[in-house]
Order: sequence, then structure tokens, then C-alpha cells
Amino acid sequence: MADALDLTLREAAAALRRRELSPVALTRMSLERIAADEPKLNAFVRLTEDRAMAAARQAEREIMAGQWRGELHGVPVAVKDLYDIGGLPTTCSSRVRHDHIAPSDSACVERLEQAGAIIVGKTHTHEFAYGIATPTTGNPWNTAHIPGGSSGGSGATLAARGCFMAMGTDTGGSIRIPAAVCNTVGLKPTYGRVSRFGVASLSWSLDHAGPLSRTVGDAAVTLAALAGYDARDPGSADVPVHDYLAELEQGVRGLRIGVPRNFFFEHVEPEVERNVRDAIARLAAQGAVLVDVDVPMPEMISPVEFGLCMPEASAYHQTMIRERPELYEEDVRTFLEAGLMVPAVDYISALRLRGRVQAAWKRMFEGLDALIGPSVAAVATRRDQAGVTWPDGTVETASSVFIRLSAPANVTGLPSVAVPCGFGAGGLPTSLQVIGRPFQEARILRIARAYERTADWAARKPAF
Amino acid sequence: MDPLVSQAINPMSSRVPTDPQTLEAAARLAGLSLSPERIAQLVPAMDGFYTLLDALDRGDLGETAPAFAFRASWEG
Repeated sequence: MADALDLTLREAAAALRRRELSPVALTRMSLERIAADEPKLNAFVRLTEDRAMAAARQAEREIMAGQWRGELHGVPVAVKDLYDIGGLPTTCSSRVRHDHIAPSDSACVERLEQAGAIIVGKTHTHEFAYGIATPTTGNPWNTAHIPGGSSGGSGATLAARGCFMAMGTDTGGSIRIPAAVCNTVGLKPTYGRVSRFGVASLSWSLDHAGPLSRTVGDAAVTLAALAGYDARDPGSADVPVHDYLAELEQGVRGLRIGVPRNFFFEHVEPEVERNVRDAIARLAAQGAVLVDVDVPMPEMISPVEFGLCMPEASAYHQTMIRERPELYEEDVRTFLEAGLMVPAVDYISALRLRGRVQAAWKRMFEGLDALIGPSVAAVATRRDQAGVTWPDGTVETASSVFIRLSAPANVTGLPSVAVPCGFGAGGLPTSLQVIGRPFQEARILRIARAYERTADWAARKPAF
Repeated sequence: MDPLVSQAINPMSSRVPTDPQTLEAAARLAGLSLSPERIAQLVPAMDGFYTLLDALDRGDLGETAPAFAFRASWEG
């Protein structure tokens, strides 16, 4: 069954449940595919073959005995190497952490394994999740281009059919950016929806844990396993968990979707805008009500994002950046040293302004189910490309190009899902994002699914 | 300047452009021991970051409280 890895997670789950597919065989296929792709992609810090095969054999025994745990049971998945797996290193793709052994499992690893998922390995991140390039790793659509970041290894292996779901983290867009440039779905849940216990932090007030997947339904299934309150994470929200599959196929007729007049379509590649507007038209054709909106306080998104992230990241790293700065990559070292020189008053101003931005976005959302726009402003840049020059002569770094449109959902904490919407310059993927009201993941997944049904982007496979 | 932050230029900023002496003092206060060469490398980056963060000072925040996440409850 050589093409089993081309199935979606939900399709594979159905085949596993019917016993048409073996968890052991599927896991072996996954590990072999990853091993074959690694010379070109380098998406993984490490594979966890022994642990994965043992889990696969257990899943096989349970499913054969009629003890099916759900749609993740027996399905090979990966986690970004920020997630602790007890007894294994969590390197954060950094020399700083080469000898760090996790004392216990992260909450997400616990929940995934309780659901029966088979963790086949730990994927590369931009060092400590502090960047968008993931320079270790190639994009399967063109290995000379970045896979995005910081969850770049997860995006790359998922697009290459190495596994069926891969966990990322998202502080300024680090789930949605790699999803966008690798042609996968990426779901950043509401702040506090998924526990970050056991996940190395970049910025406590902005970090989110969530899945990259091939389809919207796969993301919904994964979120159902991950969501819930966890007192071990101070940011965890004690809010009821919804049924993320219940309204998935209900379509968008009558739903009110905001289309930004400003910000989200400024300095965006023409192919990206074309594809996103085409997607919006397809939603309107299905009965969605489009509402023109003005995005409030767009000029404050980056100051708040960096005003929070830089001091928090530097606080996390303060001992090591003072004592062994040479162990960090140059870009991350600069951010961390700079963050130590940000006055506390700036940080508190960012916290105060965050509340203002949140209130303004709440007003914008009155009468809306969701907001829609591009996930990122451009297709994947080359690995040696520092930035983008826009037609008006403005030069923008690659970091800004990719973070600019994803950071609003981090600053506001709102749920956002990135969904493939075609291809742009160089045949590279483009992506739209649907941003929702707090804890309304089910609604944005429903809208994303309504669009996904009109296209076959998830079935497209890179040849590399 | 790092164009990452180029969208928030504030010509009225009081701390930009950063000079090496100021940055050296800031680094010392932050517990960083930086060589003159490293200071010189960081100056343009700090210009960009401080310019971005100066945007936080625009406008009156009035009685807006910080969005802290601290909870005093001892319950799970």
C-alpha cells in the first residue's frame, strides 16, 4: 500500500479502524519516507523509531481487539522539537540545548499519545522558535526556498507526506507561516485553548500550541484531542471545549465574514491577493455574507508583538545569553541581546496597548463570524533572500513579510486557521487565513472547510 | 536599521539614533559584556527596535491597565 501516506489523517484513520491498514505497516512507511526525504529536506532533529514502533504495535493490538480510541489511533505524527518527550532531548534546534533531556512529557504529547497517535520524530524549528526561516530545512515545493517558521520542519515533512499531522507553536505566526508556504493547513487556537506545559517558551504571553495538517478536518480532529484546561500552564483557559467536527460540513450560508479594506491587502504579492480574493468569492457564492471592515490600530500590531516578545524571550534566555552568547545563531543572539536592553516601561506599555487593540478588534467583530485575509504576504522566499522589494520601492525583511499578517491573531489571542488557496510566483503555495472570535475554532474551521471543498489544493504533492 | 521594524518610524524619538556609548551603558545595566565590535554591530539593530518600541508611547493610555495573566486563585 505504497500510497497510504497520501491519505489524509481522517482517511487513514478510517482505514485503520476498518483494519484495512495496519498501524505497524503505516508507521514503518512513515519512517521510511522520512528517512528517504531527509537528505533533501532535513526536517527532523531526530526520529523516534523504537518508541514509534512500540506504540504502533500497541495500537495494532488494541484496534484488532476492538479497542479503537479515535481518529488519531495508530496515526503517525510528529512534534516540533520544542515539545518535551520525557527522557529525550529537547534541542529547540540549538547548540545551547544539545544536552537538555526532558524530565517528562509535554501536555500535548501526553494528549496525543492518550489518543493513540504514534510520534515518529521531532521536527526542526528556527532556533528557539525565534524566526521565520528554519534555515536547517528545505521547502519541499522548492528546496532552495524556506519552509517558513518557526515550525518549518513540521510544515516540510507534512507537505512531503512524511506523516499525517505535525505539531507547531505560534508566537507571531509560527504555525501558520510554514503551513502557508508549504501548502498545508495550520491552526493557531485561541490563546489558552491548548496547554503549553512542557513546551519551550519563546514568549509566555504570545505562545500558542497547535497542529499543522493536510486538511481542515484533520486539524479539527487534532484540536479535539488537544483542547482543554491545564492548571500547569498559567495561560490555560478554563473554558468549555466545543465539538470541532459538529458544524464542519455545514457550509457558510448566512455567515458574516469580514473582508479587510486596509492592512491585510497592503504590500501583498499580486498572486497571493488574486488567490485569496478568488477564495472569498467562492465563499460568497456559497452564501456567505461579505462585510467590508476597517482593521483597527494596524500600526500597533508590530510594536505590541515585539514589545512583548523581546523582553519575555530575553528573560527566558538571560543566563545563557549573558554567559555563552556564541552558542546562539547570529540572528537569535541579536534579538536576545536587544531584548535585555528594552526598558520595563516599554514592556508594560505593550501590555496596556494590547488591551486597547483587543477592545478595538472586539468592536470590529460585532456582527461578524470571522475575518478573512492572506496568511502571509508572499510565497516562500529563497533561503539566501534577506527581504522583498515591493513595487513602490519599499524594502521589507523576510521576517516582516511573513509575520506582519499573522501577528494580529497573536496580539489579540484570537483563533486563526491558515488554509492553502493555490499557487503563486514560482509555483509556490499561497494561503488564506480565517480569524475568529475567542474560542470559536469550530466556526473558523467550518468556513475554512467550506472553501477547502471547492479546491483540491490538499491533494497537490510536491516533487522534489 | 532593521527593516523588520521599518513600518514604525518616529522622527521624534529621543533614543534614536543610538550611539555606541549609550548602548554600552545599557548593555552593562542589562548584565551583558559586549566587545566594542559587538556594540558596533548592535547599534543599527537597536535603532530599529527602539524606533519600533517608541510607537508604544504614542497616544494617551489613560487608565488602561496592563493585560497581566496572573491569577490569585489556588484552585486547579
